[in-house]
Amino acid sequence: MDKNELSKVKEIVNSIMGIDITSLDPEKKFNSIPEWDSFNNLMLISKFQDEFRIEFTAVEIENTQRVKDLFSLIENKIKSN
Amino acid sequence: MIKEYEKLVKEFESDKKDKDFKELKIAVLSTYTLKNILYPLKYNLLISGYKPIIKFGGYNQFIQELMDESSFLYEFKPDVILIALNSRSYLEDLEFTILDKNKKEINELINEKVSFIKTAILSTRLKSKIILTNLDHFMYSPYGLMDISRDEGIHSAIELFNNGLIEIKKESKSLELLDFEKICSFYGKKNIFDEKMFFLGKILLSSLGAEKISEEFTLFIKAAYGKNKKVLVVDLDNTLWRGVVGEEGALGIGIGEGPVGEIYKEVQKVILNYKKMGVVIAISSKNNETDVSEVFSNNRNMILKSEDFIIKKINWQPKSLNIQSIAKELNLGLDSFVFLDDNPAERLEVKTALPMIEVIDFPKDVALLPAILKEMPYFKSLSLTEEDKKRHEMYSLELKRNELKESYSIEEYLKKLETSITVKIDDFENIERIVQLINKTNQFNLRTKRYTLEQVKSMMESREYSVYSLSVKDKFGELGLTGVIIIKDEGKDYFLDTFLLSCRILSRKIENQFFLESIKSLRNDKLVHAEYIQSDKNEQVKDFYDLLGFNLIEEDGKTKKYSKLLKDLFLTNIDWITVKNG
Repeated sequence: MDKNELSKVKEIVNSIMGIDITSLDPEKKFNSIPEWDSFNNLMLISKFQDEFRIEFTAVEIENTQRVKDLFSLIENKIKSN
Repeated sequence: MIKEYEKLVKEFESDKKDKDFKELKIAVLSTYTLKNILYPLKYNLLISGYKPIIKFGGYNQFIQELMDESSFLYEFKPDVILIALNSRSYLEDLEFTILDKNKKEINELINEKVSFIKTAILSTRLKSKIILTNLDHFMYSPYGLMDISRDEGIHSAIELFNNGLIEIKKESKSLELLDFEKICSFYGKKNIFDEKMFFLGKILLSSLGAEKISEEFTLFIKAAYGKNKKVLVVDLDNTLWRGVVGEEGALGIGIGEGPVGEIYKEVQKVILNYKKMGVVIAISSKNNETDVSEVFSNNRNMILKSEDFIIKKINWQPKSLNIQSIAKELNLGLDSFVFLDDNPAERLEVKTALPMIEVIDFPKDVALLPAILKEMPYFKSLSLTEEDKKRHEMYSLELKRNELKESYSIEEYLKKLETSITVKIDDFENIERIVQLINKTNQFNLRTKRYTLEQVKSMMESREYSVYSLSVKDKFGELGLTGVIIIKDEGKDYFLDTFLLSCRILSRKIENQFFLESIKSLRNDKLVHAEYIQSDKNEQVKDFYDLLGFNLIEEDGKTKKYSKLLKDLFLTNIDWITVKNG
């Protein structure tokens, strides 16, 4: 992920969840973050899809449980675009 | 392209454009996750002049929430409740159990589902307006191609359910039905629904779906609070027919014949329907009057007849001037006007001179015009009262009255009108019209307090409040139910909660006689308190209570407070008005 993309991810997460994702431990699970509720998680996914013109499958979304999963998912999708 | 609603809402709020807007509490209950309408709904309400406070109910818990007095609804006390249903989430897998059920079992299940809703709506103690969606037809049935032709098919089940909702509506005046199935089919279920998000989080609607249901819901709110337009002013050449009558002649214009003639014929049919629903229609056209009257008398393909138009301004004046004079003659505010014209220069002239007027975007291709007229949001209403049906007739009588007025002195004129009034108390039969007046009247309205049907109903039922309604008649005909006074008995004193009159009966001193009739049964040793609250539009009644003889007690910014001992109010009967018993 380049600098531009990273700052976009940071901005989107901040606008929906109100937290700075780059300050989180990559191993941290979303269900242990109080701000990370399930509805907002899906809003976030939609926003990434629209913003980066990528598409996540249901399996990929279900498997995205930690901060690092989210980064690698977005990165892989952008690469294969 | 889906708008970025969150951004738009935040921009709106940070500009403080909503600071004087009416606050509106809305509860959204649903059988699926509908939180994604938050921003589109907020935005649509903001641009309609409301400051919304929106709360969401729990997932598929609306029945309990409506009935359980410890639910958030009873504390929140919403003005409006939206209940959004969907077949996949409300009918509990019907599409997967239907093959094992016979017709009778399906009907029982559907009737039970309807009766849950019926019980909840009829027994809830909330005073809110309720807007309930119907069910969308399933996109899937195990019966496949056969479904539509089977009694025990899933299509029939949904029809049965939706017809059941109509029966509930008949029993509840607080309820309105929103046609969700129509929105879905209009934009296409493949676009309205989001299959993936439904599985991942029971989020049924795509961003398009969320946008469209928000728009439709906003139309209901605007209709419920009387923000509709009243008059449609149309141009003629290339607007109601193809071509220019001055060049092609009354029989040469395109109406009814050929494809384009068919398009214009449909345009006229749509406009005629609006007229039948109570919209007043008028003409502003740059033409020779003789050419136009020849069209009306000789062209048999014309759907709209000369007498359908309340006023015809056929001249070479700027159209903004014509519209202003129509507004004056009908005694209506310019913000209740919609303007239709094919010529962009005319549209710009009107929009620039009169920005409060809605100017319809005329399409480049006239084939799209009928659909634009059918879908435009300006004349959507939730009730069709007798007043609505007779509106055209009433305004044409008003114009005749004006003619009379011009030929006599004011006193002779008022006598010649032979006005008679009837005042009724707590007239439940006409509650819809009373609510319509409470929400629509701007000019002669002392406090401009808006009430919903539910609120007026409980005032009529209570001993504290008395709701007086005024009906007026004169030699030209019925003016209908045109005034409302609400008096609150506060024990020691009285308070004039509402005093309003429709603009069509102003300048005849009817207000004095109406007030006199309304206070007749009150105890005259008590104080009456009254109040004038300034709005954008009620300047004309600023000194009304002073003129009635009240004492001004306090003046504070936009509010003037008055009181007077009832027996010290010296009111005399207006001698040209007859009072009939209600």
